[in-house]
Amino acid sequence: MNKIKKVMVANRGEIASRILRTLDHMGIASVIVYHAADAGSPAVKGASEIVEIDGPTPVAAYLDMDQIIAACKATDADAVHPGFGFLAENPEFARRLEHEGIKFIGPSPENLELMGNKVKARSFCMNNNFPLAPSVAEVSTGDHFAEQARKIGFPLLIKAAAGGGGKGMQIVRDLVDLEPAIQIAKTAALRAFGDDTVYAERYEEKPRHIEVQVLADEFGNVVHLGERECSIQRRFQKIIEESPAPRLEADLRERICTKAVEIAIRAGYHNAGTVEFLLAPDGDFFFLEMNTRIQVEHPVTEMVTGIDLVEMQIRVAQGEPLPFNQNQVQTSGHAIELRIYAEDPQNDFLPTTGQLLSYSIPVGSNVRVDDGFIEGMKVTSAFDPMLAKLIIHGKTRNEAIERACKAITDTLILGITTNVDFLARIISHPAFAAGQIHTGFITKYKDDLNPTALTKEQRNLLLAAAALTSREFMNPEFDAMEPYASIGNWRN
Amino acid sequence: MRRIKSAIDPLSPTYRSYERHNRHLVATLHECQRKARHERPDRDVERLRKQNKLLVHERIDLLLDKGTPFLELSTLAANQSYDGKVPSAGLVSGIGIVNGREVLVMASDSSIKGGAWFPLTVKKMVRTTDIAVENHLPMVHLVDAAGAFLPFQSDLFADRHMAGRLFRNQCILSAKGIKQVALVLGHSTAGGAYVPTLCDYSIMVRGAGGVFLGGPPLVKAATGEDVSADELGGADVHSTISGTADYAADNEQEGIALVREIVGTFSRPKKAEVEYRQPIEPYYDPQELYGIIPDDIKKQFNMLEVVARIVDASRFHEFKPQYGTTAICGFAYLYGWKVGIIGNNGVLFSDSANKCTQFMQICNRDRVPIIFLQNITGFMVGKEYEHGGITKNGAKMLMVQSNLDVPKLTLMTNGSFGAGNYAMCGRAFDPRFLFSWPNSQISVMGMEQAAKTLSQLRIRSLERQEKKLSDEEVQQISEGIKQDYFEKSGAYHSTSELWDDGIIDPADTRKVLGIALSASLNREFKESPHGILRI
Amino acid sequence: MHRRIELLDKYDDITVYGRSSRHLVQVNDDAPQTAVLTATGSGDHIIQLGERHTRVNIKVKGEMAYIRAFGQTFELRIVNPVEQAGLSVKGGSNKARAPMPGVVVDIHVAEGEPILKGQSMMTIESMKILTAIQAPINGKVGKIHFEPGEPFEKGAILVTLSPQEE
Repeated sequence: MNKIKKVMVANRGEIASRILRTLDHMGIASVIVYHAADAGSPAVKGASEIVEIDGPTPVAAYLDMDQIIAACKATDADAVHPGFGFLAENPEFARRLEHEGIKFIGPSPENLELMGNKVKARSFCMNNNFPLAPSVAEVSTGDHFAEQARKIGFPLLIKAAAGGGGKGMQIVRDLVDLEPAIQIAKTAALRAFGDDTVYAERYEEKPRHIEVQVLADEFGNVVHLGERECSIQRRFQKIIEESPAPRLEADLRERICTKAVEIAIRAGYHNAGTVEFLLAPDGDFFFLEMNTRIQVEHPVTEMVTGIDLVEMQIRVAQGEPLPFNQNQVQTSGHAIELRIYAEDPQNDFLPTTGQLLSYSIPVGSNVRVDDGFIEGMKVTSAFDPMLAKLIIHGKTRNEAIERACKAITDTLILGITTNVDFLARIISHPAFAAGQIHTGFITKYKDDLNPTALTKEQRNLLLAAAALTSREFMNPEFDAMEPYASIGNWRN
Repeated sequence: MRRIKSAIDPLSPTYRSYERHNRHLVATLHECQRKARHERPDRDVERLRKQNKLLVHERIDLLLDKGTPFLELSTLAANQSYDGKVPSAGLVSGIGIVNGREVLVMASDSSIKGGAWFPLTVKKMVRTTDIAVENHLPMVHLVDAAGAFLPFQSDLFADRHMAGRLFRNQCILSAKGIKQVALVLGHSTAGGAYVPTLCDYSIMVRGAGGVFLGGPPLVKAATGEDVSADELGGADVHSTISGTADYAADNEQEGIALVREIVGTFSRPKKAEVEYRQPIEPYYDPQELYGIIPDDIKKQFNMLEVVARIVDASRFHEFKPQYGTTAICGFAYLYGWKVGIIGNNGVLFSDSANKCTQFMQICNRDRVPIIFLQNITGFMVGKEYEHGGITKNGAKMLMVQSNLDVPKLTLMTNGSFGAGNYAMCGRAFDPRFLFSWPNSQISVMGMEQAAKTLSQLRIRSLERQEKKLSDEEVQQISEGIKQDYFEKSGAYHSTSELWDDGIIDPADTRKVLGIALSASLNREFKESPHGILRI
Repeated sequence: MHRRIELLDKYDDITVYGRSSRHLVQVNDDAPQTAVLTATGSGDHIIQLGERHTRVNIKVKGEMAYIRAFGQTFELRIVNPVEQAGLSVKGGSNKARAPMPGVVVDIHVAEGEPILKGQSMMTIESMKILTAIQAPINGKVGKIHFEPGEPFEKGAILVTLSPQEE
């Protein structure tokens, strides 16, 4: 066993804070790299050791392998936790770290190459007879791609090959939109992952997105920690996740989870990962992709299993065997995660910027908050617009929903438009309570999810409150003096 | 200070009949003003709308602070000239509040002959800028004027107080530190091009504003050059290339908002120090004035009753009440400021003239502005009075009054004839503001007397030509002369010629004088400490 | 004091009269009503307008007022009068504004070039979402106010056009 002495956290925001929390808990030294744009963030302020990095853009800094490796060497970090996004699924990065004798807390470079590249992963599944979503086009550069994509039929999705998270994913319903969509997807993929390779895939309407958390040590032990339902999405990004998936028969659940473990074993997977499936309404499920990293929504699994996944990642990286077998994995109750984004649901979910004039998310014994911000911080367009994750646990799904409703109602964020009220409306929607969830949920209930219109009186109250609080109004500098003020509105 | 004890009985038949008469006069005044402000031929309004232009009062409404008053001056200028086709002389001027600051607004009315300058327009502009100079009021010019109305050029160009005086006043204002902002909303040609250019801040509206010494037709005629108004002197040309203007706005609303923003950066001026107390509304209702003012110029009324319906709490400290009782002198407060009031209750005699003179000295020494309430037929004539020195005493009153340093405000409440007008601070004596009631009359001598004299002259001249006139014809001539005299001495004629700053509704007197007083205090006046001569 | 306030894409004219603790608020041309804003001591306020009142959480920064009330969060913008004047005029605006803050990626037209309504003039990007900025009117490209790589805020004027000559 190679005990890790110091971990370099090569990430930012809430995940960096969360990783640091576990490292602290485990008594392992930590250091974090940061770009000046993140200087005021809780992760950087709370870290015991920090190294500044730079780049043509803030994102580019976190993608700069040279700087990060140099930072590791300068601080004697012997391991790197890459979080998610950025370099988390970059095999070259993993290889270089290996080369330098620094442990990459995650799967092996080979795992990353196989599963990290979505096209390779699909070929792998195809060759091993794992169920796949129908009609996939091979990636290619040049005119053939458009032609082949067209052959899949519409609607289809153009996705980045080098990374997930829905970044840059384009849905194409019409031939005329195909070319521009490919352009945009390629540009976006290049920006997010440094690789503009894209592939096309048929888009299924109304499927459920079910994923399974797997954990594998270096001794061949592979377990699953249950599934997560991630179907509430907008712009192909998940915004609400839960575990266990509602309205899933035990048998089907078992089959999906077992299949995930099979895939992980077959791929020789190490460390933590997630196998994503598409569950069709008729009960068929298909491999979508495997995420070779810790995921944004990992907390829901942590809350129902009581297992600290980051801790497990570190233990596996240290060469320890998993401290439990499949039978010892117990799940209890139900967890729901709400992702709070700085975006405007009424304006196509376009990202927003501003300053967090009020920022208060309630925590409690059953409410966990993974936060990347504190009150007073500015939210810019430099990074992903996610502000925080609100994860709620309940003994039953209904209790979890009830607690979630209270928590989100008590959340107060002023100074920037967020999706807080939108999330509240989703979880209080009867279809959500009934578990009638699929990836088309938000589109289907679009009208229900619109905010209730204000009455004239309510509107006037808001206007009056704004007027009386704002210096634009209450500035005595511009008051009329006597006798004009007394005479008032008069004409001779 | 004691409150004036009113002896008016609102239920008496006299009161009732006066009230009916005066309410009718006021209704006529309001109707004339309404027409002058808002009635325009449809064709002209159409034209402006097509050009995306706002009407002048719409512009002023956007300019001024909501919930504040606007005292418009000389609304009925030119009402008896040019066939009545140039209401308000084609120009709106007045005092209002912009972002909390007192300003004098001067706005062209382009719905009247494109805002062209008639002789009375020029006179009104000169008067307006004179008001700015005398009272140190910042000015906002809303420029939308086509230039001089050529057919009348000989009456508006060459003389000392004609068109050139406007520009000269602007230069004087600038040197005195009195700020001017111009918003050019239309073509401003030749002399008119100087109005915005002489201002401290000049804003032009794109597509509408134009500033050039010669417009495109003139340029074409002079040099053969073909150039559009915009290319020659539009907003972008002057705000980016020549520097003649400072800002270019996309539309009128933006331009007006910019004017407001600029005025908002002006400091609040320190007012001249005059004793001040908490303002209180009059105890008596100003509306009662309708029942106090007689329906005939020959009938008398007590000026104290008028004072009671103007001043704070109707309180008045009368000076020398038992002496020279045909004049009233005393102190009162108007919207908190201490003022001296001089009013007429009959003909001026030596003693009343002397009382006024003594009182004016006190006011001048003690920094008390004076309000003159005129109702004067003149000084007493006759042997006894000449021997008593009435001419000499009248001259003394004139001498002191002319040389007063404190601000003077004059109100024509009824008659204003001959030397009485002079002594009581008529137009020629530079009151800061002068207003008339609709019933007022002004001429060199009373109508009856004048008409009789004129008729006699006429008749004698006709008789010399050996025309024998019947009694009827004599009567007709007399009536004709009287009528003409009456019209020419009425308030409407006087205001048309800009001999006053506007006819006001008597019930508005307090507000009007209050605003005028406030405006006048923007200019510091000299301290004049000296001993008071008990004249 | 009088200003226009934008709330949920609608504008209202608000006038506030009076001083100290006794204010009158007038919304558009409705009758003015007494308005009082009191702090509750627990971080929020009660706003009273006429007969009605409600609890609000409010934070103000510059010309923005952020309010949580009725279970929703609102952004109110107190419009600068000079800017508001530009908005009050009817007719197609000749300005193309940024729908969100971001950065210019690519410019597809040149100043002086004739352009048709709907034509794409530039591509902008915000958080990896690319959007095309289209011409709001037929006419000519007047001035392009940003260069590729330059960042801008929401509402910034990206391109000014001159309308088609009649």
